[in-house]
Amino acid sequence: MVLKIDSITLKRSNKILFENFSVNVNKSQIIILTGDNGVGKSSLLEAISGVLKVCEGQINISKDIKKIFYLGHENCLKDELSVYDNLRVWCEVARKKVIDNQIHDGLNYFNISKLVNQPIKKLSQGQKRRVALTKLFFTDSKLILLDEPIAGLDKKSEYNFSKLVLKKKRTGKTIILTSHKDLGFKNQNIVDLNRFSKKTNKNTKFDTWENL
Amino acid sequence: MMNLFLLINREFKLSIKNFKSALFNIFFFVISSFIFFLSFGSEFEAIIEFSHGIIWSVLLFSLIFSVDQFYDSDFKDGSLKELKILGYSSVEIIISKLFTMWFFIALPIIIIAPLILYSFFGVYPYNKTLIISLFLASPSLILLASLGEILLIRARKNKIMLMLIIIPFYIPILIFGVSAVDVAKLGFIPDKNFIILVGFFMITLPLTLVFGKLCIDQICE
Repeated sequence: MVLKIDSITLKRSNKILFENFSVNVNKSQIIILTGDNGVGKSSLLEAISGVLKVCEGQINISKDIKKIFYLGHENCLKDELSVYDNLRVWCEVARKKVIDNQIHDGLNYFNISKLVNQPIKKLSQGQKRRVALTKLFFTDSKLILLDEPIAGLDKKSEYNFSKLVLKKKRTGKTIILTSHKDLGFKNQNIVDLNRFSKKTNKNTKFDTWENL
Repeated sequence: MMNLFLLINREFKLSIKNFKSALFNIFFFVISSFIFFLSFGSEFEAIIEFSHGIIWSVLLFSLIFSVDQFYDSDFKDGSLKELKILGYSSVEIIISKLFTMWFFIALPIIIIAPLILYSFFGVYPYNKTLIISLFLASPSLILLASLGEILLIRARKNKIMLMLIIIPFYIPILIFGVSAVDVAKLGFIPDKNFIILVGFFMITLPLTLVFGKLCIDQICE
């Protein structure tokens, strides 16, 4: 077992997001966290990564996992630096020995190799997200946490991202991601956080497009 | 130690790539100093009397205005959180930024200040004392400015109010720094002033690290 979440309660700004949430995650699993906005998907990823403390319960991560890869809502890219410099600086801080060709391969995978010398501030949101996702190419972390990774991506990039996630899964990595879209992975495990949420009123009937 | 080295390396690379900010800071220091000096008109004696105080005041403003680039961008683009998840402690992050700030903001000013004085007075007789006092006090000023910035990262609206709370803490350092040159003018060795400036560093360092760590941990949540 890679990750064991045992009856946790998560709070944000003194409001309980959800309580008594438990899940076990095994090696090479893809877990997709779904739920309404503000239900606590990002907070759960932050709690797993260790930056957000849980109020009750425990999150146990296997001792085999030394490092966690986390990509949040923000792309963690410096506007004034070029695409190449951003990735180079990240690789150094993440203690990854990456040669230039690998960086070019990563960028090529997401069709942004032409932008290698462009400063980040000149890129569109989708291009910035693709640069951030390129970091996934270099990581050897066994647990990968991705918060809305496909936000702002076009269809082709979404497809490339899905392929990369499956490749990571095949190499024994565990991926936990949040998404409002179905990425269509085979054997994916969907966890609907609405079921545990304090915000969602279970008695309320929500309008659907069909009812309108 | 390796973590600290990697972080300092990162901060240096970011600062070198963003060299315009450092240049602007030096430019601000030079122009402000000249404007202050020129405002005295032809009263050359008065300029000599107050020159070190002017250098100190302008240094303080340069530090206050330039530290935000070090924390603000890391907070906004999520890098602060990313560094924590990559296994770097808040204390390591703060120390790496402090060192980089001192190197890219304070050190150029310490080097340039005697040149500015030289351009006005020729050989300024108290250059040595001024340089030593700036050298000893600048880390404490950086620490306080840094602490203020960490406290203010999230406070968008009340930034001026909170800044006013931090500014009084600069005053004692400013007083003992400026009076070191005054003591030298009287013909004494200002060693006591230097010891007090080192003492301020000993107080501000743990304070900044402890409160800075608490704030950064809170910010990342």
